Amino acid sequence: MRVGIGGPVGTGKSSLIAELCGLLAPELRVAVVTNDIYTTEDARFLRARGVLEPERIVAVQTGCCPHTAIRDDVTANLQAVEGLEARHGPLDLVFVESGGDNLTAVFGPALADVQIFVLDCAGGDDVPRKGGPGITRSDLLIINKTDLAPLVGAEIPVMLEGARAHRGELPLLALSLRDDGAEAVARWVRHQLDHFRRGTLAPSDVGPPVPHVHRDESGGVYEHTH
Amino acid sequence: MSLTAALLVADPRVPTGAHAHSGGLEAALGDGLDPEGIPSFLRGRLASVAFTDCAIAACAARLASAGDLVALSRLELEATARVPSPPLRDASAALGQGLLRTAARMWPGDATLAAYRARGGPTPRPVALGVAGAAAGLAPAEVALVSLHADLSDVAFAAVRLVAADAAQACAWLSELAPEMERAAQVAAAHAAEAHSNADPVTLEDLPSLGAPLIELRSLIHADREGRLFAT
Repeated sequence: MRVGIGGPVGTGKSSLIAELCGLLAPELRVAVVTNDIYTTEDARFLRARGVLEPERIVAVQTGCCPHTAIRDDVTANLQAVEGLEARHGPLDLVFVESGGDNLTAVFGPALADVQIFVLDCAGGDDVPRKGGPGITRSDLLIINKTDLAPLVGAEIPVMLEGARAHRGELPLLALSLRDDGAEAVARWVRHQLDHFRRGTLAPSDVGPPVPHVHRDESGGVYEHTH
Repeated sequence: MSLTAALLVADPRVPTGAHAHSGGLEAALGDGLDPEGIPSFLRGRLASVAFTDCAIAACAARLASAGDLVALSRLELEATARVPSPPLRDASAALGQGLLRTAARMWPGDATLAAYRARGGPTPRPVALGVAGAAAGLAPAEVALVSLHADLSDVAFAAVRLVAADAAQACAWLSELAPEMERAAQVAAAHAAEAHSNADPVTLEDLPSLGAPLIELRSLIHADREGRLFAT
């Protein structure tokens, strides 16, 4: 199953993949393709984290156009995925990390079976309200860095409300990768993989119960429950 | 109907992976090429590697129209021998495979295209273009022109992203070269006809083999360069 991970620059896509690899690689055969704007930065970050054998992480160039490489012309990414499958296959999961791009950058169906879009609260709590295919159509939307919300004056409930207005029942997850790790996301991925293997993968499937976010009574602190 | 076919094959939105290639322009700029010299760089490709490629493409179109898969395999070797740089060989093979992948969807009924693709393995871009062009119903000279157009427009539109070049300016560079591209395509098609008319054995080794040593050399450095935006 190919999992596309998209979202703007600096929201935590690479960190999410590193966490997911750490959680899933012990039980599944995993590889990663990165689409850097500046070539191999993300691939090097992931290799340095030591979560996968270095040769299971490859980078493709996108000619300044990360969204083209994941949607309009996925050729180089497909070849990278197929190359990994040929060298290390069979594989259970391939994560394809988009280069950081704008809210319209989503994966084409030939490249990703499911896709996760990552925002963070530091980018402004009005971002989810703005919509765009990444927010409205991704199979899972993550609002990362909830630990920073009080520091940047972001209201997580505003972000969730903004996203919910576009997404209906599509899954939505607010968390701090740094504090919480990615176990909730890993569970979602396992659930999708289970459907994928049984041939019942439905991108609109809401999956397992999604953690929610609430305001602490002392104010300014946000938590999620599993 | 060949104009329609040419428009379809030449459309830069046809997914082949080419958008991530600058035809050596990024490496040249990194090596000190003045952006003012980009039109000359385009002309240099047209007089060397792009011309060689378009002759190979024209020949591939002839061989594919004749359904000669054996000669197409020999032509692959000829095409590969004309690209000494390993990164450029790999890039050509990836672009060729990418083009065939899409062409197989565009012309699913073409038996030669299907048989050629089914052999698997790397396919140099100009050979793939010839096979796809034949499937589309293009004449060899038209395939040669499409090959030149693809080669030079990859470079011109990479310039828009690499330097402060206006996209309309990039179009103007190409339109200025149009007469030379047409002439080159005719010459290349004549070479291809000559190679093919000596059929049995087809004398593919006599096809043009003009190279561009600086483009080849720079590609080796570029492949290891941090911060590059384009694959080649």
